[in-house]
Amino acid sequence: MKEPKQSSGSNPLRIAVDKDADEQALLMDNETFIRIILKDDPEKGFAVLFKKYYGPLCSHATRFVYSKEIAQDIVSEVFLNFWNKQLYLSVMSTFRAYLYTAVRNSAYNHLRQEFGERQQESGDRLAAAPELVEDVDPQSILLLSELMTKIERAIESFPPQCQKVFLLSRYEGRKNREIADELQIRLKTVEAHMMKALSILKKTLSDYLK
Amino acid sequence: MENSVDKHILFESFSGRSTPLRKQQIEDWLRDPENIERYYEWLDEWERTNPQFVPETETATVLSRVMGHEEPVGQLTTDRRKGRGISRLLRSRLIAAAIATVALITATYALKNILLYRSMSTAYGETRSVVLPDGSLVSMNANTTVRYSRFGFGKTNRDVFLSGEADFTVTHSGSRPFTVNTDKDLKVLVLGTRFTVYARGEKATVVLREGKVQLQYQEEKKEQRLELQPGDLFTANKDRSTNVRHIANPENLSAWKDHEFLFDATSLSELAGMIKDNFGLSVHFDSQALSNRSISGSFHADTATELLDVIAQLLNIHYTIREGTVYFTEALDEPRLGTSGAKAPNE
Repeated sequence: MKEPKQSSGSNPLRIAVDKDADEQALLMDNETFIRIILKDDPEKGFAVLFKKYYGPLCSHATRFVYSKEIAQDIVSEVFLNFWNKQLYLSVMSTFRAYLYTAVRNSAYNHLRQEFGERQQESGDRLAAAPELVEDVDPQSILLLSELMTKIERAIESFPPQCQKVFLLSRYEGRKNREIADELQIRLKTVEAHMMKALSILKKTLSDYLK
Repeated sequence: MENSVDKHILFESFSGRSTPLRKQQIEDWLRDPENIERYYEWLDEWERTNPQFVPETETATVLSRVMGHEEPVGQLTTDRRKGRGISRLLRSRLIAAAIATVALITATYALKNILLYRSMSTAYGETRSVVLPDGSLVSMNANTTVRYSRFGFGKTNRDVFLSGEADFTVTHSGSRPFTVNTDKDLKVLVLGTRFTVYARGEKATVVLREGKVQLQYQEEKKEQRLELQPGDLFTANKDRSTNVRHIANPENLSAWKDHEFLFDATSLSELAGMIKDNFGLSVHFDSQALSNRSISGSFHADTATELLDVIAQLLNIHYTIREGTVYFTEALDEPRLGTSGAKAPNE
């Protein structure tokens, strides 16, 4: 986020949203299309759904957990659960809304386990994915979006070297030893950087992970 | 209008650029379950256009890994065998679908332009703001057409075609430049900024308010490139000559977005051109002296008559509108007309 902050107040535009009927129809059709295949041939429909959303969902999960590996695990688990419990038969909202909600909740629960106050059970991470969008309250949706920004800001605020170590270790999943070699610093320094990064993150997240 | 949250607002909030008021607005908007669907639709789109991370592994490989995990392959094949009864029906359905696809492709080819581009126009006296699929905001002044590709806009290209006048607030999107094409051999290349382009009749102008744009245009049969700095006003005239000058308040030139008209010692003859552009009315002055009079100040006017009333009062002159032409007259010459003038027939 290197762009200067734009004060939205300076641009008091009146916006008439162009309700794009045909575009919406196309999107709805896409969902309906997948629904139809899922009914006729669940395996194939599932594959279509998976191919369409796996990438973007991983990308989205990364914004929360900041680890490629964990993000991919979370998304795979959500899909697996969707398949095993045959949720495509019961999910009433669009699959898109369901999948995003499930991935976000799951990522959130992961953060809670990792940074929270340690009262959480390490139980079913998927417990909180509703099957109806009506069951979601707007506040929690926004809270998650806000959390995503908070995390990004926190990581941006790390001192440069600390940020580098953090990203290599967590995002890329590299071992401390390898990082020390690559950056030509002592192993102890790598550990110190990680400690610092994680404590900043924990502090930033404390309000959100109650 | 009441509490309308659009793609632009949401994209900004996903990128963490949102005010507390906006957040409240979005929260209220989300109370409608339909908007929750909309929210995820746009979240998905935003995630696809600004990916944080693209998994390198082929999705097919991951898929088989996910499926192979706990689901024995045998069970899936039996499932499928159960569904064999419908396979003939399915096949005929597939053939029908194939025929439909061929027909669609043929039609697509025939109606290429209509299908490939979406176009939006404003009528005389109308201004409108539209959010493009990439989250950029276009405010169109009256009598303006904006066209962009229906498919792939924001994904493979960000090309917009403009005739008329429009103000752009372009969202930043990595390496994909946003281009405004005009039929005046003038192109504006952008990477995320705010600017106004005017391209109608014989003149084309570009005003930059924020960021950086590159212009590409023809001068003396050669392609020219020019980079603008914020506050620069570029003008290309009908004789193909061009000039750039720096102006103090570039935002004044897009004041029309809010139906504000700003004049700074603007002569009535200059104003005549603007009235023609925005309201489709020709202007006639009964004397040269009258056309040389000028006005200053900012006015709010939603219609041609509102604007004309203000001008008439300010300068103490009269106007009448007959068959799409405005006639300005000195007050003393025609005492029969009231100051406010006759009502426009087309209002």
